[in-house]
Amino acid sequence: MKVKIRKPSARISQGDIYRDVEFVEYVVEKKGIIEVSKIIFPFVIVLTQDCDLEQDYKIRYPKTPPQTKDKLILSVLVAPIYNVEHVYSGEHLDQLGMNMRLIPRKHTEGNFLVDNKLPRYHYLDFPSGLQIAPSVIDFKHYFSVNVNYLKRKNSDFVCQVSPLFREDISQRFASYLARIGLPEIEKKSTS
Amino acid sequence: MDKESDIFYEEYAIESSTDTVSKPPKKKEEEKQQNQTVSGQIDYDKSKPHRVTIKAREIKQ
Repeated sequence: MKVKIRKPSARISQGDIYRDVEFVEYVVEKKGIIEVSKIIFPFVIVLTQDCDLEQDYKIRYPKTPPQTKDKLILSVLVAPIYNVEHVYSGEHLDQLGMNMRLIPRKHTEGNFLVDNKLPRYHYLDFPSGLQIAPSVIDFKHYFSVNVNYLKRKNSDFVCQVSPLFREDISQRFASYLARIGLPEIEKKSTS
Repeated sequence: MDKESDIFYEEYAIESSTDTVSKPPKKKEEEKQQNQTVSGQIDYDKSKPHRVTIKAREIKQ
């Protein structure tokens, strides 16, 4: 997977990778005490279509007042990126108290993971200049973040996946999200 | 971006707050060595998602 590196631009783009992105699990108020629980993801990648992000930016920061705010988006869709070594061993979410299944690296499934043949995951190998280990995107764990929140994280911008490669990621994500789960049909005994 | 339009502008009063980071379980020595061999550049524990809980007292005006 080739990764194009750029300076943080004015707007968020599809394929942008940010570090330390927060996902708010819940906010509750009990007797005047507000409790906020959030998960900090070391790396996430932006999945929202780039045309949507561009239109949003033009309306959010217009040169002339827009007639409508029809193209404004409410949030940016992202998916977490996990260290592939942790995914192999099923330990990538152990700090959240979640044990995941093993994906043996030297077996068929491990090869399928690296070859992007497992619909749920997308393997990324970064240039050596970036201090990110080989990783995988987990499409099942997608979530959304506020546009302004992400915009303010310019200092946590890591890199941007090149066009075509980022479209490949979004296309695989859309395919995964649109999958149809068929029920298992019980086999009738023939005896 | 002006302060009023940014809903995440955090000048509102947080009188007192405490951040609680869940502690990761201790690793076996051999697992640490394996991680260091593979990683080389980054601290694996910091490269895993973790949960933070913040508690703040509401100020009624």
